[in-house]
Parts: sequence; C-alpha cells; structure tokens
Amino acid sequence: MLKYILKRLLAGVLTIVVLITISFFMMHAMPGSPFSPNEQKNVPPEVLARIAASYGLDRPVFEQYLSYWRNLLHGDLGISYKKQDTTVNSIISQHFPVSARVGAVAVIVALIIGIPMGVLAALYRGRFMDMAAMVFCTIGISVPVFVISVLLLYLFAGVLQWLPSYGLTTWRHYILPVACLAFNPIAYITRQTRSSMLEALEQDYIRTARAKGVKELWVVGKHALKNALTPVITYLGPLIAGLLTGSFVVERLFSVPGVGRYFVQSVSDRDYTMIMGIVIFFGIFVVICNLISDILLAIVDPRVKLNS
Amino acid sequence: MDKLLEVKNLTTSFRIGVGTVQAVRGVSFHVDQGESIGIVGESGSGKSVTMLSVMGLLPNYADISAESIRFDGRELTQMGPKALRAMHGREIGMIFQDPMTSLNPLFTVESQLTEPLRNHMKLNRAEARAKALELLRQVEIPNPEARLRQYPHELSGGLRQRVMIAIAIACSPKMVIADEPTTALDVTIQAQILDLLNHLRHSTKTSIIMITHDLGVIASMCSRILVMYGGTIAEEGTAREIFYAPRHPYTWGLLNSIPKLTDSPDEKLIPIKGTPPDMLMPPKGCPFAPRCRYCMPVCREYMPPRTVLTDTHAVSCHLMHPKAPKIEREG
Repeated sequence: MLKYILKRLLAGVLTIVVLITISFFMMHAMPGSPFSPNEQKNVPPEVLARIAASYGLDRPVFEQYLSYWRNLLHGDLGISYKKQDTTVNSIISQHFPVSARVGAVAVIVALIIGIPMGVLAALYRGRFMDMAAMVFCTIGISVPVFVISVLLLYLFAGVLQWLPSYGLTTWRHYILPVACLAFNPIAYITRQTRSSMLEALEQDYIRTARAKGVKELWVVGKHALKNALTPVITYLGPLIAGLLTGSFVVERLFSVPGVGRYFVQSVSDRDYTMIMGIVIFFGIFVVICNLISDILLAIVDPRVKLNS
Repeated sequence: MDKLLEVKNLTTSFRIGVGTVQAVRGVSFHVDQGESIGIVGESGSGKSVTMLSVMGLLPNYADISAESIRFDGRELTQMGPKALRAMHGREIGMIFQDPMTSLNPLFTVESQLTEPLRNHMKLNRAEARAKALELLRQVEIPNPEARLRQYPHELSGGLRQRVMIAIAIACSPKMVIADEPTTALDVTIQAQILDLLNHLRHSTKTSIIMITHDLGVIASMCSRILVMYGGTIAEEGTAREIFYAPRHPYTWGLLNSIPKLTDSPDEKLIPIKGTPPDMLMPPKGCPFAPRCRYCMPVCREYMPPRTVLTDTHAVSCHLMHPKAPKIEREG
C-alpha cells in the first residue's frame, strides 16, 4: 500500500513537471504579453519595455523557464503582474479556502441527493419516480451551468427574493452557488448509480442474499449498493478536484471571492505568474484527488489490486 | 413418513414483452422428511423455476399460482413476504449453480456466512464466528480461520461452492435445494461436492432437492426422481424405477444419452433429436410429441393423463393407455 502510494506520488510529480513545461511554453507562445504596447495604449512603449525588463521578460524564454523553476523549488510562485505587490502564493492561499468551502458543500450535496435518487430510480424502474429522475438527469447533464445559474439567480434571488444573490456571509448565501455547482454532478451521480444499481440487482449474489432470508432493505442497501457505488467512487476524484477548485461562472455570478475566477481572468490578463500558479495548484490537486479515489476504490473492492 | 414439502398444481409464467412464457404448467410433487429427490430435465424444462417458485425468489414479473404449497405443515401460498423471509435460510437453504457469481465479491466469507446465523439465530459476532468456523470444517474446507477473512475471488470454484453449501446448511435447515450445484465445476470437483452433499445428507438428516440435467449426478444420491419436460412432470418414480423400468420415451432418451464406461469407443451416443418446445406457445398436446419417435395422432391433440403404475411410479404418456401399441424401450 505505502509502496503504491509512493509510486503514484512519483508519477504525479512527473505529471506536474510535464504540465509545468508545456503550460509555460504554450503561455509564452500565445500572441501578446502582459506589457505589450498593442494592449496598453496609454503607456509609452519605452516605459512598458522597462517594466517588462524588470520582470525579466526581455530574456530568452528558456532562461525564464529555468529561473521560474529555481523560484518554484523554493516554493515561490512569483508576484502577480496585474495585482501589484501581491504574491501568487497569497492570492491562492486567500481565495482557495473560499472555493473549497463552497465546493465541499456541493460535493456532499451531490452525493447525498444523487445516490439515493439513483437507487430509488433503479428500484422503481419504469415507474413515475424513475421517469422523473431520468428527465431531471437529462436536463442536468445537457443544460450548461451558466444557464442553470442565471435561471436560479433570476428565480430565487430576483423574482421570489428568497435568497441573497451575492456574497458568502450566512448559510443562506451558500444555497444558490452550491445548487448551481452540484446540479450537473447530481445528474451524473444519479444516472451512474441507477444503471450500476440495476446491474447489481440482477446479479446472482442478490438472489443468494434473498435465499438467506436477508431483509430487503439490507439486500438493496448493503449487498447491491456497495457494488453499485464502485463507479461513483471512480468519478469522485475528478469531481472533488473540479468542485473544490471553484468554478469561474458560478463564482463570478454570485460574487464568491474564490480562486476559480482567477483561472480565466489570469489567462485574458496574460498574468504569467498567476496562470502558472493556478495551473500548478490545480494539477497537484487533481493528482492527489485521483490517488485518493483510487485508494478508496481498492478499500471498497478487494478485487482491485494497488500495484499497477 | 411425513411429508415435508407438498406442492399441488403449481403454475408459473413470466410476462415478457412479446407474450407469456409458461415455464411451469401444473406440477405436483412431494418430499418426505429426510428424503432426497432429484429433478431432472434439460434447460428450459422448468425445473429451476419450479423450485424458485416454491421459494418465492422469482422476479416480480413472474406469476405464480398453486393449489397448495405446504412446507412442514404451513401453507406457503398464504404467507406474507416477512414470514417467508424468516423461513429462507432458516428452514430452507439453497445452493446455486454458479459459485463464481453467487457470492458477493465485496464481502468476506465470514460476513456472508455469518449473515444467516446472526439474522435467524440471533447469534452475536463471536458466536457467529465460532459457528462459521465449525461450518467450514463441516464442509471440509482446510484452514478455516484464514478462509473466513478472505474474499470470494481469493477462493477456487470448488471452495466457493463449499462456502455456498456452508451458508445453505448454516441454520440446520429442514430442506436444502441444490440448483445444479456441480454444473459449473470441474469433473473431479463435481465428485467431491456430490460426496460432501451425500455425507451431509446422512449426517444431518436434511431433505435435499437436487436439480440437475445430469441423471448421473443424482443416481447415487436421490431416492426418488422427477423427470421434467416442457414445464410438466413426464415421469416420476424411485431411482430404481427410473433407471431400470422407465416408461416415458423422454426418460428413455435421457438414459440413452448418458455415456457408459462399458461402451466401446465406436459406440455413438444417441441424442434426442429436435429442440424443446417454445414455452411462449406450448403445444396443446404432449410437449414431447414433436420429438417422440412413438408419437401418435392423439399425442399432438391432448395432454397425456398421469398414469399411476405403482405407489411411487407415475408416467404422463398416451402409450400407457390400454389400447395404445405396446412399445418396449430400445437401446
């Protein structure tokens, strides 16, 4: 087990190195630069060139790459080009906890609603409950999050005025952003649970459990559900990574001061240090979440061997 | 002897998209206390469905009706699901065909074996564990302590079937239903499992219903045999009557298709030509008529009546009619 984790972490480090290298060179290959005279029209070009030089942007790209690594290995992600005097480290450490809080609530909500709904849909296959769940799932998977977000915002914060539309001060502020973040995962988890539950209920071991006189609740809740949840666990890694690191759309719309919005903003700003900082942070997060969900899967399913 | 199980006129059908599959069509039989009987027939003859109907383990699109199913003095057709569940695993144990898929892959042997003990016998964890060890020894599994902690995928097919047997006999049931318990196993393992079942039958005095398509499997184990075809009982009798004085052409066919050690290598097995009837549209006459070489016009029109030959031997065949031609078994 420990050996497996070390192996996976090593592979993760390699992944991150490749990720950093590709992102770094792609970012520099993008047309324009943070201090390009074409974009900053009201600053004299000579001044811009001086600013760029002060950040070391006049040096060859490969040299910049090496010096970035030097700083990175000291844990320094650099200073944001746009938010002056603010380090990327401090932006992430300040805003990530906000995204993580909203995201964690969304993950829990998605599981608490998605799994039971999938189980019920499977148990009442072809009946009203199942049809309703499947209609919801189709909507949840096909309608993009920004449409859902705007609709919910308009309905509950605008027309009905039940919920606040921005900020994160009380628990009521969490409801709308969490609902928007969890909407698509709920639909996905419901569908996945339903189909794997239907499959599990057909298995011979379910008949064995019934022949042993096991209560129907336990047949479904223990024997079938544990088998049905393995695909959901596989999905859990990417889901947690995706939700905890925040969503650009949802954070923008509900004025949540999370880290998600920096992802898009830094790219359009060509804020090089910020782009790299967020890419590295997200990359590490995804690697760790996937590792955790793989370990979890091996704990639930003894047939999964942790040695590949 | 007292009748432990008595089934009268059992009919089971499945509603499927294109119509109704009449899997079992009016089957009656009984099992005495401590007796073991065999139900033989080819795939689709209704033998497994008959027993699953008795257990109430069929999916909800199955329609089960019976004049009466009495088990140990109680009428099962009148019992609710809760009362039936209290009997499953407690008074009737079941062993299934495929040990590879009949155990839950995500739970240890201990968890699956102690489940009926804790549910029905209300044993606590330690007592259940001790009893589970004893059961594993009883089904001759070596190193039971280690096996308890293992998962099904860590056991071989033969060991898994032994675990299934241990689960079936865990609460010392009055009756064990074994649904093709050896079909999925290697021949050598088959013999071991049959020996084990035979041994348990003698040591525990449990009634056993053995469902199989292999007459050889039940020859040594069962005192009485039911031969099923097309959802009906074609012939029933003691093992001696079925093997030495069979009267139904289908039974003859089954016996002729068993390879014998004394046959010369050139000897050809005699197959039963044709295929079993389509149970979506079962024939109105004898279900075996289309494949029967002694088929008479009456066979295609009317279901043959049950002709009782001795106390134990009965045949459903028009050849038993006094006016029918006298035909002796060939081969």
